[in-house]
Amino acid sequence: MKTKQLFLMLIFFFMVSSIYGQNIIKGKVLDKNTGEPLIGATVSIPNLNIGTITDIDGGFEFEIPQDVKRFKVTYIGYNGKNIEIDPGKEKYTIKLISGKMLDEVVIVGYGNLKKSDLTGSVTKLIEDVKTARQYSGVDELLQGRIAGVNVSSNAGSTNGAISVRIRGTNSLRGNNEPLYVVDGVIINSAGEDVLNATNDANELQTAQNGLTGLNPRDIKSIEILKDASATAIYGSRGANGVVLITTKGGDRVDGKAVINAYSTTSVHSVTKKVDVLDPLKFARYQNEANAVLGYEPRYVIEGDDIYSIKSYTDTSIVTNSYPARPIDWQNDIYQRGITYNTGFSIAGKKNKTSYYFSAGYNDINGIVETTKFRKGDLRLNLNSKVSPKLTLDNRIALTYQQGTFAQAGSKSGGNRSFTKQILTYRPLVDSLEESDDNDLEISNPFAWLTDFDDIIKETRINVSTSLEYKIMKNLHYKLRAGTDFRLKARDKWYGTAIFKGGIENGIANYSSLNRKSYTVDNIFTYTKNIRKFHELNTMLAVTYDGSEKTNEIFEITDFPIKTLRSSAPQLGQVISQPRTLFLENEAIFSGLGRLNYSYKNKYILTTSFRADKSSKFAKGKQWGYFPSAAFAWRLGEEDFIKNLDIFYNLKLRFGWGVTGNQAIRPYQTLSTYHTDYYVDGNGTTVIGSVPSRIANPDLTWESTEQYNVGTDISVFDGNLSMTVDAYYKKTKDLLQNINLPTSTGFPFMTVNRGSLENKGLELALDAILIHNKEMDFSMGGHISFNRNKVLSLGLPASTVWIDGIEREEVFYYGNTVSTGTYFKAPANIFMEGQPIGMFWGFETNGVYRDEEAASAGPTYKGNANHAGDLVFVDQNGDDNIDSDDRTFIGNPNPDFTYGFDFSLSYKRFTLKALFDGVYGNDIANGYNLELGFAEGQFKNILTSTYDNAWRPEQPDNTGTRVGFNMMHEGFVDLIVEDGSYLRLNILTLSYDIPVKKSLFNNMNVYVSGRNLFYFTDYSGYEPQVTSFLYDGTIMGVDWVGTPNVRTILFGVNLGF
Amino acid sequence: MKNYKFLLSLFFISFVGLYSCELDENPNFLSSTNVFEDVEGAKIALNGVYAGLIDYGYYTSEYHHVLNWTSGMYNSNRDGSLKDIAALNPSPNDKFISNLWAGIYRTISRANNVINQLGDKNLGNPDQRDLILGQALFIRSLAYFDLLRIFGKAPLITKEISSDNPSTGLSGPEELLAQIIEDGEKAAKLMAEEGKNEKGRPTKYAANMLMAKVYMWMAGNKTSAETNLWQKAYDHAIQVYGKYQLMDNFGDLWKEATRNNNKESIFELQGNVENTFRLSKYWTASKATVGGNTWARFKPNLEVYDRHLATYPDDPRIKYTFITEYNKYKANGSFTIIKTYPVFKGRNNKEKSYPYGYKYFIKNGLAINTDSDMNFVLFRYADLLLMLAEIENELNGPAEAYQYVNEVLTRARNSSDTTVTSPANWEGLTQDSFRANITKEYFFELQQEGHDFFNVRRRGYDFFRSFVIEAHNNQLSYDFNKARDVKFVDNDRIMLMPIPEAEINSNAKISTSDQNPGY
Repeated sequence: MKTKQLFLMLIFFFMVSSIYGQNIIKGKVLDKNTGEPLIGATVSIPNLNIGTITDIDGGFEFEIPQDVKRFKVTYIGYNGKNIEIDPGKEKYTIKLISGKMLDEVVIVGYGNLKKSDLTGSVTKLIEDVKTARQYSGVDELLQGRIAGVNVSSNAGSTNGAISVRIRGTNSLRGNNEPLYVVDGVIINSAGEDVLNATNDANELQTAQNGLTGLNPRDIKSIEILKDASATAIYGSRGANGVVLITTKGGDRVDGKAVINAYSTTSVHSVTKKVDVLDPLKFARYQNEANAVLGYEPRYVIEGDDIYSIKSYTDTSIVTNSYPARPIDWQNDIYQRGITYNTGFSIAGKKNKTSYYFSAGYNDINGIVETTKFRKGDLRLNLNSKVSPKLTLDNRIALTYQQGTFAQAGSKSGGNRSFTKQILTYRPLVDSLEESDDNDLEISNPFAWLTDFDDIIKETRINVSTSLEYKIMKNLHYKLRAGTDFRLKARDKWYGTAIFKGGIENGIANYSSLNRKSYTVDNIFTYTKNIRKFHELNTMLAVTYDGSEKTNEIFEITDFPIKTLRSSAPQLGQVISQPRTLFLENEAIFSGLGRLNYSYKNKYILTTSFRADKSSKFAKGKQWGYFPSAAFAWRLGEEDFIKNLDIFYNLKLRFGWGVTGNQAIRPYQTLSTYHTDYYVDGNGTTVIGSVPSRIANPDLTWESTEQYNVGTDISVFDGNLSMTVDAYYKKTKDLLQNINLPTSTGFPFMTVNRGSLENKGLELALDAILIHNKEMDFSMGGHISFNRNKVLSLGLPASTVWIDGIEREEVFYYGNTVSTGTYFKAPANIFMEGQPIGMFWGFETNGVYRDEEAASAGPTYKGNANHAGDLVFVDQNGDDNIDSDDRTFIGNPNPDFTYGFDFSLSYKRFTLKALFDGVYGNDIANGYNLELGFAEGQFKNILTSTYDNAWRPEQPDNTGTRVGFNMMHEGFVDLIVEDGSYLRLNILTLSYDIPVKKSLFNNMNVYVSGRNLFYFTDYSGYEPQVTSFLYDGTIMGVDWVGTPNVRTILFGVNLGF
Repeated sequence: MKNYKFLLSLFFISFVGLYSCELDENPNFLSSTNVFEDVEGAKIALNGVYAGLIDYGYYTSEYHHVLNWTSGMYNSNRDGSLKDIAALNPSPNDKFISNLWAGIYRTISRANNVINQLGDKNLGNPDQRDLILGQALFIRSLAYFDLLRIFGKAPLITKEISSDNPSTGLSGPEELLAQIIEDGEKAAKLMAEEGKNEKGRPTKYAANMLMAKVYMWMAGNKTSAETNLWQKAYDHAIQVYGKYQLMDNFGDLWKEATRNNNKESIFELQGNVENTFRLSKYWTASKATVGGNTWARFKPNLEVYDRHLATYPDDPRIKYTFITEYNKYKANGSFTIIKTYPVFKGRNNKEKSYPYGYKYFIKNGLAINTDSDMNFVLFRYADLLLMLAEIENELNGPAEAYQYVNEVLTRARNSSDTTVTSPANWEGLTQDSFRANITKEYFFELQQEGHDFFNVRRRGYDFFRSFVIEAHNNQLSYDFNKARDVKFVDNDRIMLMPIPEAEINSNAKISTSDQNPGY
């Protein structure tokens, strides 16, 4: 857009100047901060439509009529300046300050608006290219920067699942991810992965990042649409907010290509270890536990040497002749990972075509040696003015990645989970040689390294092509078509040293995803400026988009020869999961429009409307309508405010809108069948057809109505600016996967039921504190508060006990956390009138000091207590502890989230820091159900658990006795911890090396640290809980979390 | 201006054109509309019902966990369960119980689907349709009979569930039995005669046997003077008599070559390596094969072993019922011999303190893949003969009852290479002593085969207490101070399993107060 206008101006200028040519103005436009030339800045006399743009050295020269007194210089991302013309002056040196610009263009859905014309809550994020190169994904770019945007990801698990939430949780259905739109093409893959190939219900695959294929270095800007007046234009998919990503284009003026190259090396290491028993204490614990449980001791301890006991005779003990070898599994498994990143970009403009080309290569090595991952990507963005009326824009990106991953942990826990084995596996090994692992049981941590593969290969192609035709001056038509094509294959191998592989003599399973989604937009825009008072910006569009997806799964077992692992499925003898295809097609057809009207640049009204027709619903339920309206008052333009001369900008915004959510799997309204298997009398497998679900033909949209009030204030020439937004959202007809009674024969059903609300306050502040030739110091911060509440669930009430009072409440439980031995209970409850996902479990009150106290206490599921048992609070007073005695034991929703950043430049040095944090949420540390009780099993536990265990001789100890093992299935307040944290997310120090007319134009080196400091009381690995990110019914539960990772990065940027 | 009109009309056309474009889902899946069009489709749907029976939640796995442990006859290597469900102390959120409940209902829902979709359709082949419907009714009857016996009450669902009303309240034994009998009697009429069934599929006699079991269960401790249920049981059981034969050698029932679909089998669930029963892994000692992964989830209690030896000292069935010595393998194929109780007397050894069950133990120690093609025989002819003996004794006293039980005992005696005298034929018993003996006889013949839970409960809690709890708690070989030996609680709640918490939580028509007494 901009390019074209400038081009026009240029033509205009030549025409005009040839007529009047009287006065020549020359000069140079520089960045005040860096002194670097600003290429492509606009120098103009607005009233006369005369202007030019600066060349590669920031220079300009143009002729103006003699009576002109001043001219204007503007540049994107900088504060513009009006320059008085000094008749005697031959050459002007104009220095612009980078800052917030009001006439900056902001991308909104299906178009763009001037920032000053915005009526909704839209935040624009621009990251400078040096910093962007440090990120591996969009999620990292968003992390901790924007009020109301909360990103959860664990840096420890490379390519691990990520979750972005804008303004709280709208939906209980599981996926609260915003809609991503890249160059106008919808990318709906945040929670997407291949299907789990195994039919073993206990083996859940580690979730992986679905937002691949977008390289942060190619991103020009990200706009986050937060309130409904902005997102309603995305209708049925706008409820969770929208992230609009625009990739870079070429230069705006003809000239030499600008080449940038970069290279970074980063080193990752574990930030913290969980304090489990050292070998000596472990041996003591085992012996003590065996004594308590009535077994013979396991070890003979002589000084620091520990000998395993092999057998007992009537008279003596036979031990190994050599002491057991100690192993610190966390030290042995978690290593230092090194990642290399390199790439370059070329941008420029030649004739009528501007281009941006970039290529990158990443070689990523995680903290576990089996996590190795390579990625290459290419992008080519071309914009060509085919004719004065026709512009062709073509953006294409290709990404290929492949690698192997360590298992991050399985939902079932136990020895099916690598991360759990590292913590719980005994720290003593009975073998002399390091390489001799005969003594190690199945699924020991080494086995997970040597006999497990999770290999992925992914190809992704993103294309956005558009053709814009200028029908007349104010009316444009744009045809845009795009695709997001994704091909991902994931092959897993479970050797016999892994529990799962051991059962079936080796298992290879294969799953792949072949998905192409497409978008076709027909967009008309009409802009009109009537008598300078009325500004009209309208858009009308018809769009059609959808996706075709094929998932394929296959599993084969029983490998007589295992050396080729998953690369040779033909060596497997038993097909445990026949090759199965799941085809899912979905489509949405929509008509939409928006009208933005501004009167005198003071009063702005925006209304939008979208009608969506979705294939996911039954006939008669397919159409959904999503209106919005917003009003903004630019108070700062009113004379009485202007005269105060305080405000650089002052704007009030009011907005309302309705958005929807239809992110359920297709075919829920139909009663389809799937295949199950039986065997005939000859031993041959025969297929059977069985119903897959209870069809729900009544399904429809989930809809969210949102109100927003906001203000934008900036003072001191825009050097201090603040944005405050308050919102109220109500979501009704919640799409939920409700647990069906198991007696129906089906586990769950998708229904529209219930409503919930979110209300919140967001505040963002930006300040440029020092800004001069030598030094630049700016800071920013944001904080957001969100409160949610379940309003109704549409269920009958049942009896619960809260604070010892019997109440009739309406609620349901979240999904059971684990399928394994521990935490086989739901953690969360969804109760009317309460915040969503409150923790629901047993309240405890220390341990019984002695037998007398124990026998006086309530029985536990009918069993008598002993000294050292946990004191459960008997909520209903029936003298027995059972599931009726559960009550609220925590709240996983934070009080507020916040972030702040500093940027300090001095001469050639720049120091940047970004902090982010969460306050007031609780985390259920699932590890501690196993590590936090000295059950006496042949497994390691926390040092504090062992030290604090109640013993007859230590009756004041507050932990449960050795041998207490009643917490398998329960969920107690003992494992609920405060999850608040503040961390130094990123700290970067960079230096511009002076280059004197050498090969390079500029050269910049930097060192950066990520996750350098973590201030938290949370005892687990990582307070950013990433387990169950896409299961909306399990919240705040750290189940098999991986260690957090600190990264130190060294980088160099070169400009040619 | 022309442009204007042209583009506006283009816009309009595209809008209208797309507006009318159909966005109906047309998935590439089967659905009820195309499955039940013909016999072949209906047969495949019936396969799905059978697949429900061999689901992990039902006869492949969870049935055995719940029923073996709460029969009070088996110890376990699964430490987590040893102290709760295997100590006769199950909790309402026990995963095995929840899975079993869900597994049975999954089968019922599939059967309901077939029964209701068939409705009045004759599929162009009424005979085939009857066979399909009969089998679906038989399976539904069996599934509800299992629910009744395990849980005492259950939601009675016979129609396909619709989305607007997924909850069904609990029905008591009378309503459940009425449905079980209605389905079973119908099935007995519709299913195939012997020889006319597909290989591996049950005949109408399986339905007769099921009905005989139902009436015996209803009769409980009532005498034939008090009820006509024994007569009803007889009417069904006698239909089966002579239609099957005992295997010549008891051991052949458990040998790889002869265990599947033999002449003694009346109702047998089919498995193969791909769709394998987990039973072998559950019964085989850990590392008793080169492949390793076997778990000894169930090991006979000492009183069970001792009782058999005391009752029939050289019964040839003993060596086909218990294992007291096996080879423990390393991955390289070398092995050590493990001798268990009664040779080993220690009480806290996971490997040796208990004998193992023979019937599903993997006999080939060199097996690497421990999945097998083993079937699971639910009804076999010896069971029927014991039932007939019991029924006949109830109706008319021992005189005509001996023939049935002696057939079973004779086969047992003849199952040895050498001549043995035990178990001797029965004679000279009173009606009461015959009853007392036959009640216990099931455990010598059918132990470990999935009937123990029912057979110890059918005669009431007094029998359960003396035969299971007291026999166990008074068995002198145990040391209940050691972790492996668990003492049983004397509480009659164990006659029924708790209604799973998952069902109570998700079912709007069931509340905690509906829970079985004592849980």
